[in-house]
Amino acid sequence: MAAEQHDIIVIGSGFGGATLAARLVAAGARVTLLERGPWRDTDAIRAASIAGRAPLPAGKHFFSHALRRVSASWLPGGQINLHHDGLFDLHYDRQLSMLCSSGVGGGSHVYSAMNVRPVDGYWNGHHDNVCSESLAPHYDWILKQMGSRTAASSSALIPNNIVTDSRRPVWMNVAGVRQPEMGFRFGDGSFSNNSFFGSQDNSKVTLDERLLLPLLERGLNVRDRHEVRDICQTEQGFRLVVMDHKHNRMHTLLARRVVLAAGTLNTLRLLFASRARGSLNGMPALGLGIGGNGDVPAYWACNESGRDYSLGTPCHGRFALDNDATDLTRYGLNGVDCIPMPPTLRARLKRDLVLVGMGADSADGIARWQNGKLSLQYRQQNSPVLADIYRAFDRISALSGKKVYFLRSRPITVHPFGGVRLGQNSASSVISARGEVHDIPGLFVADGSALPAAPGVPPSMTIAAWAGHVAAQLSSSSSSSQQEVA
Amino acid sequence: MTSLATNAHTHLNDWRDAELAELFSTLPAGEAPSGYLHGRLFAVRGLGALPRPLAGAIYKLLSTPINPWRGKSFHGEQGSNHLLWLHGPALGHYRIGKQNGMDGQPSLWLDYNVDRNPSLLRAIRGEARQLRQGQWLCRMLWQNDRGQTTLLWFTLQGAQHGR
Repeated sequence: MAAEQHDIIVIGSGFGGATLAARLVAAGARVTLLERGPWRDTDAIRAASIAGRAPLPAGKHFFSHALRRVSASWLPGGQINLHHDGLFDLHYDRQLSMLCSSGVGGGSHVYSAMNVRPVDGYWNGHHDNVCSESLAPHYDWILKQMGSRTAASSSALIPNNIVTDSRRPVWMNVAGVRQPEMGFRFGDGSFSNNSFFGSQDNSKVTLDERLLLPLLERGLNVRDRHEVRDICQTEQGFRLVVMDHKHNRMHTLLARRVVLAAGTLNTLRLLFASRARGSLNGMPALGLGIGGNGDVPAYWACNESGRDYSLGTPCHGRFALDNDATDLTRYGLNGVDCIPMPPTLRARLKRDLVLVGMGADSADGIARWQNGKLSLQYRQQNSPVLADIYRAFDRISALSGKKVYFLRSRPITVHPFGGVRLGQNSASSVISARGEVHDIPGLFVADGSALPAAPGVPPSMTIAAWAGHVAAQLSSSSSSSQQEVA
Repeated sequence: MTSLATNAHTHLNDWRDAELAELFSTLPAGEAPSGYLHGRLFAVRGLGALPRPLAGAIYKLLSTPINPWRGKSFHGEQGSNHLLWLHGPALGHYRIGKQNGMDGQPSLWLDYNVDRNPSLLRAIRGEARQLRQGQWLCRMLWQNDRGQTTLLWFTLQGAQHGR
């Protein structure tokens, strides 16, 4: 069988890959999107009669479909593959652990739907040809696509909305705290089981149904359960080795241009592994500038009688403590109904809360590839924001008299970024203002690994905005090359 | 071997014949290698029905000293296989040329039909194409009256890349 030839292959279908594919197809490009995970069996995808859907982890499918892979340097071979259709990947590292997701639509299935812009000027100063002003239209585009708006003004009937919660402790300040816009169907959505384990009824807006489904009719070629194993630069472009998990078959695909949007963790793995095999060369700054976006998740055992905090929007909203600028967000254990467990335990968990502190860390971590395994060097003492969040959690413990549990010496993030960062030259960065790898023409990066600094807020919109920017570069180079041909 | 060499080989060692043929069809013939090259074999005919992990384990085993074949040497238009160690005893010699392979694309062609070989080995042909810098993917063929049959696949890797 002869290998297929493609114009543009996009690897990954999360906020980077889905946005980029949508923008390119809208501009008339022929795009093939490869996603290692499956289409998820939600109402919208079922209604579209997409074949081979995999369930979200819920009920009898919870334990089989929750985890896809666990990786750690001390595991044999560096990883254990649990289920090809599992939702989460966990990478354990002493210095920085990472949790990411898998499936068509990527992180939009498991995120808290917070659609937030970073601080003003975030994009300034990293490259002469990239600035916040030039990225602004791309934020506007994705926020509009996700139907993003804040919960506060929409309805007082939303359960556990932090702004309208009459039983909120007085020290949990919301005055002057900007509440996040959310990609959520406030009007007709349901207020349960819509967050960390996916949203079966599409109350939460996800990328598969919002961006990708409509594009299938316009020629977007989505191949689910296709995992890229190697990217090799050739004279004509790139040769990709792809495992088709549906048919348990390895394929070789050829592409003129490739866009990596597999998520920070997997983009790093793919680039490191390809370089180690000799398939790619250069990239001396690969692995520099890793960060965890200051994520500190915590479990607050508040055990508030008569409450069911699992109801509501994917996040309850943001709050602050007196004389403390730390960015804190409150969540219920939304989705706890999906997990098989004794009723008494479930009732207890519904009375507890999850807190997440977030902020711009120093982004000075380093990823390395050693014996076929990814290892991370990340010194949390270099990022004062983490200590600030720890202090805030300690204060909450003291103020409430209820324990807040968190990992003080084992940072874990659901928002890893960097390692393939944007910059002026190949000595200190990997990609240019076009999103193209400095010394590998035709290879682009459009996910969190490209970010040059910590957004300090949930990065989904920032990743999507960057992908929109890269799509614009690709479109303009396509049209200029077509003009040259003409 | 360094991790580079290990990666290059283990990358392919659980692949099936049809998958390797698809990859092979995308590769350029490239220039003929020169000197001594480490070899590792996989996708042996008859083992294709085995589950991938089992096949991978067998090929990993065949890369240990249990299998005496260590690699090949290329000197101008002639070459040989080497046993026990890379510069060890030579067995199975071939002429090196260029011609279209089984899929009609140009390949480096290893023709074992030379006088020095025992008659059994003279029916062997080899095709090689450049996988990456310093690495070649090759298939061993059996030539008879009915045509050519793939016996197995192997990679060759230059000593400078492998050590």
